[in-house]
Amino acid sequence: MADEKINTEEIMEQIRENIKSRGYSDLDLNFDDVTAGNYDKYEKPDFSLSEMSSEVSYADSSKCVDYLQPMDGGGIKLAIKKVIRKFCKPAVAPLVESQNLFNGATARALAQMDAYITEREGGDGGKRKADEKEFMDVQEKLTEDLDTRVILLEQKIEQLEKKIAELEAKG
Amino acid sequence: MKLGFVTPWYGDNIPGGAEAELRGIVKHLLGKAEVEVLTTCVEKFGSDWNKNFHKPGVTVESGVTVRRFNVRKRDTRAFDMVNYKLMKGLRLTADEESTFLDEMINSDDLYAYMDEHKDEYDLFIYIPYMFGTTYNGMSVCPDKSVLIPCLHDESYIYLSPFRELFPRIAGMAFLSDPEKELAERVYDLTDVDDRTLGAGVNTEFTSDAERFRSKFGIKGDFILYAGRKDPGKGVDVLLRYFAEFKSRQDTDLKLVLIGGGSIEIPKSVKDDVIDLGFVDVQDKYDAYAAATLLCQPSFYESFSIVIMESWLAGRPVIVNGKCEVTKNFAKRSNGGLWFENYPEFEGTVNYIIEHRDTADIMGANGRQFVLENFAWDVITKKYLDFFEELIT
Repeated sequence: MADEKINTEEIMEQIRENIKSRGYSDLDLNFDDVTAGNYDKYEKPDFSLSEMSSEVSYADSSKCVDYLQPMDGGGIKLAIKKVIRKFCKPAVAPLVESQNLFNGATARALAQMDAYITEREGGDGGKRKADEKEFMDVQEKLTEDLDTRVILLEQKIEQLEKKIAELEAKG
Repeated sequence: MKLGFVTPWYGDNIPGGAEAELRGIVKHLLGKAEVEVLTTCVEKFGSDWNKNFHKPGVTVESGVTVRRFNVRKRDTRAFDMVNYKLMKGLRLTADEESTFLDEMINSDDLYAYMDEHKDEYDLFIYIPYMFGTTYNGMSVCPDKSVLIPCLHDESYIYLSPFRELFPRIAGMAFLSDPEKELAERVYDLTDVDDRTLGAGVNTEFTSDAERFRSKFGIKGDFILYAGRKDPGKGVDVLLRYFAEFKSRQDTDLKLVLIGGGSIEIPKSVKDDVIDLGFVDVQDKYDAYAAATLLCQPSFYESFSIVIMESWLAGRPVIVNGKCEVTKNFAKRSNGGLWFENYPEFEGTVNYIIEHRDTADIMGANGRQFVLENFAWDVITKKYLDFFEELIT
């Protein structure tokens, strides 16, 4: 069958022509939000405690922005960069400080939320486990009771069968 | 010829694509070369990289000699901070790049052993590219190093330590041509013998469509998705496209999902999406044969075993047209179609449903392509020839 020649690129061309002829296009159908690959832009994420903790941890470690960033290069270029930074300092440094205050408050608030959610998850998880254990204990006991009843009933049947056999023998 | 395969973790049953590929290569080289695996005592990717799960020393596992070494204690928090920046596509400083490589999985004992015994080995082969054992291992003797990188176009590949080291190693083997082209764009490989060798695929399995249909009670046409149900794999896009498809088309088409993970299924298609979760290997093979087509919506694939398996079962595939690797396979083999947006998804699915004979030819083409390029005997020979040429 593989000897029969087909060309998938030509098939794709046919499919695209067909889409065009039907007036089908991304924009007409407003399918921007389902275009493969645009996960970050449109995805409403499911809650993930570990992802939240990782984001909070990063927010905490990066909340302080340093006004003095390392500079590349050397010689005259580096000297000019340093002069420009010195000139800009009176305007930029207060902004950096304000930003750091805001970042600090946001990071702490996020850490509080993270701690709250973690506590609740732990509590609920613990309760759920306890409930499950209790349920399993009850089920186990019921199974044991049923086993006992089956054994007793089997013994009774055996006795009755013996009695019937005796009665039949007596005629 | 003595070959040392260096990898951060090794085991017969640990998950992961690169891990499975390494196991396959090593086992198929047994008897054809002297093969050893040099690794750490960490169990697997998902384990604590500070914990020595295995005992250090030499063991023989399924015929393979495995030499394990204790890991170096790492600063997990420092690593996580830097890794976070990389995952978000932010640039790292030189210090942060060093932190990334120093604080991920590493074994000083392994590097010391390699340094002391490097003359006993003809080559050291590393898989995959981003781990400390690969970078620091290759630094011990770059001229004897061969890398099977398993590259994706992601922030990690642009780290400057990689750009400095990779041009100095002996060889690089790629799973696909687009992966090789990506590597040649990012690194200066002028002096490196780099080749596309592909990955080995088990071609010996059989599949029975009717067995799958009767076991799971599935009738009629269905699209198969085989893999982890993880948004990073594009299954979320597939679900939304499928929901849109069902709202526009009067059809009984179903979507069958097999594999781990969990994902929210749109309410409108709850009855048309059948999530079977993990299934036996044989059920998976049977599912390929029963499916109308397999969809591989993932953006980031360096090979994709599932499309090869679908082809071996004789069924066509549709793949994400933005993934150069899978699109390249579909084009080269004439075994599948590709989509970059919803209309193309609808067009390709309908084409396969409406052209049954052509779909069967696509499946057969794909099967032929896999047998010619990725059967284990073909791949093993390619690797042996490559290693021999590097040594001589």
